[in-house]
Amino acid sequence: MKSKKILIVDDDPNFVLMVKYRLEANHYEIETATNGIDAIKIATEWKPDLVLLDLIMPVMEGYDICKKLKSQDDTRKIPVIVLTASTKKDSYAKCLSVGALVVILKPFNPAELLALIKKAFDPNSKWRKIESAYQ
Amino acid sequence: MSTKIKSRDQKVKVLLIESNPTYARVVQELLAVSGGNGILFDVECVDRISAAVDRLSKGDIQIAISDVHLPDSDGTQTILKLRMNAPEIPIVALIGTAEKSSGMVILENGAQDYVFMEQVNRELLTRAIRYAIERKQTEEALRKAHAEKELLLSSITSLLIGLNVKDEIAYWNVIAEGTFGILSGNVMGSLFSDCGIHWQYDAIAIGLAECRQKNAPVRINDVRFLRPNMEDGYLGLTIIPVKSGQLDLLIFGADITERKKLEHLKDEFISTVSHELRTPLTVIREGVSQVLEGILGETTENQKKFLSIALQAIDRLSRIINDLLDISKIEADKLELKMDLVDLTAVAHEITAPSSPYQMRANDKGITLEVRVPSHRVECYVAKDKIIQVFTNLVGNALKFVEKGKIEISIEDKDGYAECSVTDTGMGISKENLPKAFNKFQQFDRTDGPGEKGTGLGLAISKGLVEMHKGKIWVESERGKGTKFIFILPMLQGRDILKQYISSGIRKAAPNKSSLSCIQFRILNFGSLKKGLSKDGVTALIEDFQVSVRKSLRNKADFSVRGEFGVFVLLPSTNKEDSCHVGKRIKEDYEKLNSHPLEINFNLVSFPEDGQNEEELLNLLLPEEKS
Repeated sequence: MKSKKILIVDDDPNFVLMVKYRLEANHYEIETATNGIDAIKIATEWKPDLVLLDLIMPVMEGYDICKKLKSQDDTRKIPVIVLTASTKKDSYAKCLSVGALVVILKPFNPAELLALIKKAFDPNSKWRKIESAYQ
Repeated sequence: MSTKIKSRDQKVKVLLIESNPTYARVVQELLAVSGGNGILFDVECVDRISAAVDRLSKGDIQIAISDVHLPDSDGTQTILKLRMNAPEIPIVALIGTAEKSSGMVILENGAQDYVFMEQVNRELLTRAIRYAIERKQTEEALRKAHAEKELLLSSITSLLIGLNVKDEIAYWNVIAEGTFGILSGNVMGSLFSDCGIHWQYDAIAIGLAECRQKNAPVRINDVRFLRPNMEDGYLGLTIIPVKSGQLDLLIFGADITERKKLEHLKDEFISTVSHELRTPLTVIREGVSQVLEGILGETTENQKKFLSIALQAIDRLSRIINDLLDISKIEADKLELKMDLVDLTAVAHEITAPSSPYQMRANDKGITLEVRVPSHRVECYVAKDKIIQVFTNLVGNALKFVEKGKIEISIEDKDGYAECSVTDTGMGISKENLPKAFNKFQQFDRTDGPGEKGTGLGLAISKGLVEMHKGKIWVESERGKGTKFIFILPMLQGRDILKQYISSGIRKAAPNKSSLSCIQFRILNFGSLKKGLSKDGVTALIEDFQVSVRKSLRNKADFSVRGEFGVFVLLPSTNKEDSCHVGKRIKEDYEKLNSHPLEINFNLVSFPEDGQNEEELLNLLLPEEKS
């Protein structure tokens, strides 16, 4: 089976490096972006199966990236998991309202992250159904 | 002035101011004779106002009897000069019958009485003196009381506004002048709603009405207004019913803009610090974790041991950050509580279920974790996640301190409140440490064992959470015998809960000129269901209906509450027409379900059309409970 493609978007290159390493160890194919413009470009061209998205970033915030991805026909169906160190609940609600699957608070438990990624790829999981509501 | 004319032995010191020697002698002779009433006078005489002022300044004179025509002063001038130089001395003026018309003028200028020289006799004069002294004393007492009141009012640092029954401004203090940049003279008598301030008057109007209706103080927070410097500001106001004379309501408060700004800065700061701490912590955790897991290559046993200690410390640090955030939110009263009717016995069962991490930890340690709850539901109106947090904090604590034995969660249904407790058979807390148990970062008597280390904030958070639910928490313990943490939560009636919600909904809606609707779903077959099922059985059916309601509402920020009277749904910024559609949709959605044992119907009320406050709306929905 072809390995799933995941795009990691985070302005902290160290974080990106480590998550990339872990996910590659779990046999995912990884691309990374450290800003919103690159993220949207890669998402549009490379067509990942999942986006891991940070919220607070310079230039373009995670919320705006998520909104943009969900507004473009060719990226709309890509599930988005938000990974953030921000504890502002209203920013979570904003992301979920434009179609993010779930918000995970940093620092995260790696086993939990891997389980959620698996769940996002499971066609029978409830999220996929919620996701389909936005399509 | 504390002179009282009482004693026989006491002499009243009189200063007679008379330039006519004949008159002076007459008066002196009249006062020299001891009359039937037994008062004695000690009379001194001067013939000029200047001499009178000199003599009065020496003190001990109790009353002045003065002719108004003196060589160095004439008419009312004489009275004014005496008053000015000796304001505390009562004055009886001597005038001629020809000057009858000037009598009133003399009184207005401060004399306590006057007598006609031609008609003067001992009795008349004695009585005039006596009443003048008493009248002066009353006047002084009043003046002092008034001065004290003014002093108190002027030293108040909050703005103070008085309104009469027609909402016209009857009092406006200096601070109000400064806060709004409007002088008292320009607003006295004008309507409060139209006094020239740009503000959210609607919120205030609701507060005024509520205050009058309840006849109790009402607090209105965060009223937006335009400050004199043309910047947006906030007021915090308290309205008090006074109902005294001209005043109907008193409003006091302050411009809280600066405080709000500081609060906002503090919130921002805490949330930024939390974010900035988490970001590097995430990288550290992920790095350590990957090395430990062997993703980057083989590690020795010793390396693994150290890395896992590091990982535990990192996780503890991240818990401390979470707890600090919680504590700061609780202390700032910023924690959002998603209130609902929650069955506490179900919560207790959830925590002790075989699959719960707490039960698993107890099993690992060989400790029994069990519940003791009544067989019926114990429902409280609480934020479920927060009450679970309190329980898990307490159980987590107990797990740390119990080596063998058991931990018991119990819930009791008391009259008007639920009593919850977590009891353990651990080492107990010594008497001197008990009062410190809920302090922040307070950890005592712990020996470093395996497992998660605490943050030292769990009990402080639990206390805060319980108190946010208007409950109480305390601890009972004896060294060596175990510890019992007890907290009680009020059990509100459905009507009270609904009232709270409608009231807060109106407060949010009114300033924005928005609407609010409340739909009541009544259960038509409640009676027959209750015959066939237990009370809890019917509650379970209503709960199912509530789940269906929430689905129909598509998880929007709407609120629903369940009670014996059915289910209520509160729809913010929804008018009557729209909420009627929502009501119909909810009913249809429920009836589409395979099993819908409840027969439901609904009625609805809307703010502002149907009522101006929660009481009016509630009485339309639940008229039978109108008191």
